[in-house]
Amino acid sequence: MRTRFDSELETLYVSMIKMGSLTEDTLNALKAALSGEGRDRLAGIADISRAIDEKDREIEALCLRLLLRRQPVARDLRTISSAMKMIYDIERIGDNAVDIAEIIPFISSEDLTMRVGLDSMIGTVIEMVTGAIDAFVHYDAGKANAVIAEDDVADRAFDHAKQMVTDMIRHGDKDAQEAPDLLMIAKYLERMGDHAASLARWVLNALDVSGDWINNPVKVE
Amino acid sequence: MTIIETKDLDLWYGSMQALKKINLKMEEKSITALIGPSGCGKSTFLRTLNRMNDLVQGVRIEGEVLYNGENIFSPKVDVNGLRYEVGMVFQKPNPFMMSIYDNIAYGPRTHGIKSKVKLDEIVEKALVDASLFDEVKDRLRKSALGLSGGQQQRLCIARALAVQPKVLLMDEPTSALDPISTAKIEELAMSLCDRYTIIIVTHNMQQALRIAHKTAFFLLGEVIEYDDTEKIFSNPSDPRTEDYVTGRFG
Repeated sequence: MRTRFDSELETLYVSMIKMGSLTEDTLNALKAALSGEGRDRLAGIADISRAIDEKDREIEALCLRLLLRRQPVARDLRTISSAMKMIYDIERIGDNAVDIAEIIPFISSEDLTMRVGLDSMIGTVIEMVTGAIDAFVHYDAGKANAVIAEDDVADRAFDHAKQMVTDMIRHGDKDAQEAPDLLMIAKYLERMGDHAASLARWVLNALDVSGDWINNPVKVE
Repeated sequence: MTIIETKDLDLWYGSMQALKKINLKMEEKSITALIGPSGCGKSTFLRTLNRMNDLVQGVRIEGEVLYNGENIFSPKVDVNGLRYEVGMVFQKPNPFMMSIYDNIAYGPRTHGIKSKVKLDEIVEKALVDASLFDEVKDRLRKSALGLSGGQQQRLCIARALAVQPKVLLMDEPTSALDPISTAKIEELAMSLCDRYTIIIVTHNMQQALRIAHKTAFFLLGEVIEYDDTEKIFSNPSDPRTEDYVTGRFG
């Protein structure tokens, strides 16, 4: 029975993993730049982001084709419709990575990004994105819930970065002119965390943890 | 309100048990779909609801089928009267070899209605209700066999409606029809369900999704799951239902 449909769903999973993996590449390049390991990989982020956009269109087309031709129901319908929403979040994370990559050259030293805590913040975001994609592929509600919980860590890291930046300005720190750029990076990272948490909520909808997926979906912010 | 309820309904064809402890409550003025793989007992169940299985040799039935609270197997029940109230439409359209008008008037005439004015009124109303009147009003005296397959099926529905049933049993009513005729029958079923109770056997999952309020999944003579149609097709409770509706077996 339905060997072809199962193989099409397998293609969807593989494409989602590839899209997630491309996003991780951009995040790892940012991590290197924010934690003093070098900025040489930043230049490639725009290209990877374009590859992410292409994957987004490819997956969307696959999902539409599956909806049209297979008329999925139950778990299949939940998986495909959640995938269609997840690719939006992954694509936005890719765009945020490009935004950050454009700002980093204006930061004079990695000491500043590390002082504000952006290096650990990007680590949290990478964990969240990887966890959300894993949760989708393995149908793992526990992992998805862990990602959602981790969003609080990202939010607290943003609050910390904001405080540090405020202190820099208040105390007339010699690097205070870089404060707005640091704050913008922190904000983009915080948004990435929100998108990763949203990815995890779509996984919970695919699993139908509410038991009434259509009328009572898990709220995605 | 429940119009038909089965309690521990068992049915055997000789030594083969075709229905096992079926407990279902069907709501008045709603559409209930019965789904399941071939040979799972759904058509047998449907035919039991107006005692059509009485005509099959070697059938043995235990348990109860309550129609408006009364057991239809009670000796007090008039079987013909039951079949007027619980009408049936079959997989293949089966119009009588007579005119369109006479097909519809057949039932009321056997009820003793002879007045032409009254019969005209019944025939027109049944054809209007079956969304067929406009297509056949100029050829009511022509043979019903000249109608298309889809029109013949709607004629059969009109014929069933002419005796003013409360329940319509439909056994794969669109499986022999093209998509346009199928859509017309589905529209018709949805427009009728505010006045009639419809119980439909279908192999078409999308059809059950489109028209049924509730869906029962049958497997090997048992009801595995009975719930709101959206629940059955979005998040069924039993993994066997999920496997069937997603096409993993059947």
